[in-house]
Amino acid sequence: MRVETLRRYLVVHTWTGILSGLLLFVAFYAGGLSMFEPEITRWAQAGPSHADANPDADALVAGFLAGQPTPPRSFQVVFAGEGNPAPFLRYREGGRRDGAEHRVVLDADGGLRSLDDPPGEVGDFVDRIHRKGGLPLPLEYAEPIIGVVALVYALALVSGVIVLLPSLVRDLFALRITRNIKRNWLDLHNLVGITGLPFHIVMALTAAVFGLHDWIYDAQGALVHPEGMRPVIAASAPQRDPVPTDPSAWLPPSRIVAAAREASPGFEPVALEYRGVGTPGAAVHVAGTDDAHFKRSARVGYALMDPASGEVFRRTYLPGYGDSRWARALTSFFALHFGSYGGTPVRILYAVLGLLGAVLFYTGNMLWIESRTRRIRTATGMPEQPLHVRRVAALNVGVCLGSIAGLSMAIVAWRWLDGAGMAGDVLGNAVFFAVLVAAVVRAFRRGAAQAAIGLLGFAALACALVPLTSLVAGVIPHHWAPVVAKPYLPGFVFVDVLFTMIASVLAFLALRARRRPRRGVALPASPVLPPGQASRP
Amino acid sequence: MAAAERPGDPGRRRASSRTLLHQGLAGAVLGFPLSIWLTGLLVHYATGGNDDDAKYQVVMWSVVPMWVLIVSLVFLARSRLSCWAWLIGANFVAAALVQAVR
Repeated sequence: MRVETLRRYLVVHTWTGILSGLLLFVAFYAGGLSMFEPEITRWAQAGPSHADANPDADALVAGFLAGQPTPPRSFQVVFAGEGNPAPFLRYREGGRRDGAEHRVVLDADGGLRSLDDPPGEVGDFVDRIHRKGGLPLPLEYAEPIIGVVALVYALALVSGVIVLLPSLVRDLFALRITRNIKRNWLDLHNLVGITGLPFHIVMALTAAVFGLHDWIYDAQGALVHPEGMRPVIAASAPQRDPVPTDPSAWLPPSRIVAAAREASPGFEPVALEYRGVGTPGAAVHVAGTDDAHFKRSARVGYALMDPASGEVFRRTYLPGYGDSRWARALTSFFALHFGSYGGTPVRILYAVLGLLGAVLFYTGNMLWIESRTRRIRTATGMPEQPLHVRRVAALNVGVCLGSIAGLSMAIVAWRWLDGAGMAGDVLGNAVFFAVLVAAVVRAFRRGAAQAAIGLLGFAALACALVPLTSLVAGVIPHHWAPVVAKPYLPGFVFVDVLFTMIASVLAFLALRARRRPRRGVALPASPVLPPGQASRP
Repeated sequence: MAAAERPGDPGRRRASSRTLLHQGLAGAVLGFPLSIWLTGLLVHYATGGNDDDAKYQVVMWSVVPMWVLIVSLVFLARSRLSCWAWLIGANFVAAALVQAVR
């Protein structure tokens, strides 16, 4: 390959990388954690308060519909399972997306009872931070931005591989831990980037689609299908017989579940989502698990069924039973992003790959900074960094370590304060952004290298609070802090081990940075270089 | 664009970062409609129309890799002018083909 071509792609790689690196760091870190989203929720929040409710889902739905003159257009039945002792029914006021959420269970004596646990889950909060890349914006504004960032990231992957190709075989497993700081970062960056490349290609392309699909459909409607996308979508939908509009004529949940199991062995329903209730197009989306196949969502796939006849009218999202090669390809795109295949081992793998992805972006930013730091022998022995490089260095350290600390603190605060009676993400966002802003401010005031020592220690401590909370849960009195002192459930071990690992790595880096702040090995732009090293390029 | 890869091509100068930014942005903007037309042709029309309810979604998904491929290639263009010429020309041809098969 021509030198000029390589040089061009190196320039492209450098600038696409530094533009997208910070948002991607937060997205990958939070995304790695979100592989254990339900476990984090169960770890941090009070257990459900309806353990005494009626376990009969059929009676729950019948009782609910009997009490509603006009049933809501959509509602969901969640069956008993891990973290949920008895079935409950969930709907939104007026069937609107932004309507207030209500959850009801059936009492042992047959009456309906509303659950008043505050809605909102910590796991959801972590997932939203992942989807927004840590941007303090509503999801609908942040997602297109992340979509564009994912495109830039895809370009960084292509150009990065092109740049590395000529020296790939020679350099791949070379980890030269030498005094040349830039070489260290480069070797680590290349190793993490090439070994994780398939994962990164998947994430870049799928995240771009998740963020930009509305734009793409609009453009397809304008450029390829002059009649618009709506008729195209409608024409592809399977033809169905009209469904009786009165839900009392429908099959009870137990019959729907039995029919869904029959449609696909290995498919285990966990929830029913009724849509279009009261219209002839009513459907029940049966959400179910099946670890042997790719799934459409993070934990479940769907059988779309006729609620009156129990016939599966659409298998596109039924795990392993996509009607066509198109359906199978489509489901694989989703499943490869969510890691929703193969069960727990794949989830662990995805969590590790996600965290390693964060390492790729951190090391990439470090390379950008080191390349712009002139280690020349000056009167004071200070390495020379232009102002904009000092700013990027401070931003890198502040955002990366601040978001690590902020997420742990938010999760721990939720458990200790029992959500503080706040709805939704209010508490999580308050803690996360307060810690993040404080870390960035500190990094700017003290300089990246100095601030990093303290921030590494702080982030390590914040992550260690998770397993420490689990430890003290066994000894503190229940009446004093009931959520903290709750019993230890099996899934908690994933959360505790994950945060222990992260805390250990951060603590190691903090000690190393403290012991050798002058060598600048783990950190950028150390303030003072000993004589003799200062002249290294 | 592959022609620009010829070794020893004297016409190829050192491109400044500003030129590369220009080419990248041109590729992003003009590569978007081009990728819509190309995937419409290659995936939607070449595989026999709208007969599957997962297909229009797969076509939508295929836009992104096509778009990335186009933007990745624009940096091979010799100059800003040839970059624009290639992109506009390709858009024109792809749009005409979509018009023809529709």
